[in-house]
Amino acid sequence: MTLPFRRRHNDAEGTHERARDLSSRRLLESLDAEDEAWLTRHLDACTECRAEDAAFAADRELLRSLRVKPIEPPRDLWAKTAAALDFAAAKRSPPVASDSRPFWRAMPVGTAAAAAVLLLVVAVTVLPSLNGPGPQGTGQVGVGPSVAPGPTAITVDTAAIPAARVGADGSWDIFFTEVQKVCPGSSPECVPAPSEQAGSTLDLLGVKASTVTLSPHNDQLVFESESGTGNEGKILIQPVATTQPSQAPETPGVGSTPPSTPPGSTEPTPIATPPGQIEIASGVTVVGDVAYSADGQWLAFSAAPKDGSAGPDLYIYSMGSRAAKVVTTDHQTYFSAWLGSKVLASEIEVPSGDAGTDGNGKASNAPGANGQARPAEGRASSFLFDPATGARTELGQPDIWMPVVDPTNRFVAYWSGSLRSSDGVTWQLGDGQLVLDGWLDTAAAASASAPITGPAGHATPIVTSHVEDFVARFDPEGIRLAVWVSDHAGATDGRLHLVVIDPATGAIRADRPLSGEPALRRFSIDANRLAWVSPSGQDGQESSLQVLGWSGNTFGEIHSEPSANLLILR
Amino acid sequence: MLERTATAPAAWAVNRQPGAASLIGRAVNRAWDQDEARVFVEGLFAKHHHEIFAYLVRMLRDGELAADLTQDAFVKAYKNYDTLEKDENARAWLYQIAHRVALDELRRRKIVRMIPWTGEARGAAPSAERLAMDLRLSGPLERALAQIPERQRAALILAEIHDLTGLELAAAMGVSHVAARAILTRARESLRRALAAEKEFERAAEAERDATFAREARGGR
Repeated sequence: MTLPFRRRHNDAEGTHERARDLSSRRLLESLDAEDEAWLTRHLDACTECRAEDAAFAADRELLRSLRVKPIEPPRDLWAKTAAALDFAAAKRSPPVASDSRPFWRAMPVGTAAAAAVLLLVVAVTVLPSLNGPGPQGTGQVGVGPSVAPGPTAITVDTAAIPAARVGADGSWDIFFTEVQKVCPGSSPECVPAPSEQAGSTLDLLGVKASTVTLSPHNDQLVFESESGTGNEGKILIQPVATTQPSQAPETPGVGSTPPSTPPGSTEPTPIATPPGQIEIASGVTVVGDVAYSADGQWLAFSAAPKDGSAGPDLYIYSMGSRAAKVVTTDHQTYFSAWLGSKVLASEIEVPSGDAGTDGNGKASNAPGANGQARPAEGRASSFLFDPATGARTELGQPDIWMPVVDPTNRFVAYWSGSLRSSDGVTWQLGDGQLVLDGWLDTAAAASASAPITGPAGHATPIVTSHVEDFVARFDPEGIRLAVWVSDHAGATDGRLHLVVIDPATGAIRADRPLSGEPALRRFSIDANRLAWVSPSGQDGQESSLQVLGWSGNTFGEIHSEPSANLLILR
Repeated sequence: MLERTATAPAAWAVNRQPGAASLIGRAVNRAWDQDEARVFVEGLFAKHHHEIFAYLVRMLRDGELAADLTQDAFVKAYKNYDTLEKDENARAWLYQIAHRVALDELRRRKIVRMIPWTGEARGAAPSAERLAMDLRLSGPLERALAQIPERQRAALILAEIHDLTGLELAAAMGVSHVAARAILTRARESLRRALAAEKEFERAAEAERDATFAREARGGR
């Protein structure tokens, strides 16, 4: 995935970049003699940099010409500001002043009346934005005053969808969308209006966007740093500040303190700089997805050496510990999903005698005798890993790749087939198909003489199209399965399906709520809704956030206005 | 007009958190006094409201909204005046407040607005707000400025039109001095590209007008 803010460096580019920095800097402040001399020498030798230097200076003059364009403030600006300061003064006063007079009486009559009006206005227009998005939508306010859901609205009332809009300058504006109602496509006149809550804005220049994942409690992000200030190949955790007014929030109500700021204004922006990032791994690059456990206490991912010398291993990070622990050493283990408090992962074995093995059946990363990478066919196997105990349970059946089990432990989706590699390091799906199967876990049953953990062996194909990459996730009920597939390995956009499973028979229902909808790889499924981002079009059409909501077997949809660089965060 | 503030307050570097040059939210070193705060802010208003309003107009391109937000910025200054360590930092401190007010507003606009699905193809045409905004921008420079990311736009406006020094720019943007310079460099690159695209667009439009005129002239003969 190529992001607009991603930068690649090499030595030559580095010197030009330095020249660019200095050309820009000397328009702001004087350079020291050494930098000035270096820049002069470089500009003498580099035509392109000289042109850029001249262009910077010319653009600067152009910008400075805007100074002469008169911008006059309105004449009543001070009068309005003074009134707003009066409000602020009243709010700032302690509730029990030294003269013990109630606050309201202390205000001028006219101001108190205006405050009462403002209280009403702000209560319906501004206050929703002051509620921070808490875990699972706590702190959210209801549907705004413009909402007039018709009789056909489908109430979904689901958890907020965390997403971000990524700026070209590396800024990430996190926001939460809470969808309470959707309308069936046949009744577009029904107008539900989801509420949105602004979260933090973070400067994440140089992060690998596909790895940015928000924790279940919305209090931290994990991501891989790809470039920037010496942070290449680091897996970092960044605390996320919750949006809070800088002063103690007040509860509006009869007789309460009036809002201090006029309509259209906001409380002071949260200023607190979050505590520093935590580096949990370095020298590696994430392979696949990063995922928090449901309780937010653990983090799992697979990562390979940054230099590409070997394949990935499984990493587990426990909140509060200093670094992630690598729990496999075969360089061919891929994190798949969480199953309760355990991790499902897959590894690759290459049949003995096939190219690319190390003689023990494990895939080898070493090149062949002639130094050339060797094509190989791999067989998949999967296991459950308990991070708390370190216990590992192999799934009995072979050829199970990247299994995802539903939260109620009844169904599993996985790739049933082989894998192939052209270099013995990176692997792609080979022959096989993406299937849904029953899930058996009799290990906990005391009566089981031969414990079985794994698919039941009644696999049904989920999609019939060609699959090179996929992501599968169930809803909390375990009967709706969202599957994103791509016919091109490494692609960020593909097709999203939602299938409904008959819990009695385990069969996929014929009517699919979503069948091959264009979508970016990141999607979010939770109780009563599936959210995804549509890819931007070839004609410059921007992405939009799409939500399919349901109540039982009734489905409806809503989508956002187009916006650039949207990304779902969990 | 605007004068560059010569002071480079040493306290900024001392108090700056790693990666951020925040002038707000630091240890309070004076008690908040209502009368003192009022006098202080009235003085600030008299001295700086013109430039703060102009900055917000340039960032938001909406005079009415800029007036509301200017008022908002001064109320915030009033409420937080006890966090200003040195009076000589007041101008940059005020810009920092205005900058955050502007970004908050721009951010609110960016947060996606959900609209019901009508059964038509997913995705839609450019928003009406965007089209209206584009129409209000008169020249290539303003259109180019509007196209670059807002923090970069802010850096250019603050440094080149409002004449903030490097340290003031860092303080106003709430970033380190190094980061402020880097943002400004990226801003100059972005502006250069956007201006080139605008000029090319104008050149093509002019060529099209000429061709149309020529066709009409031929047809009229």
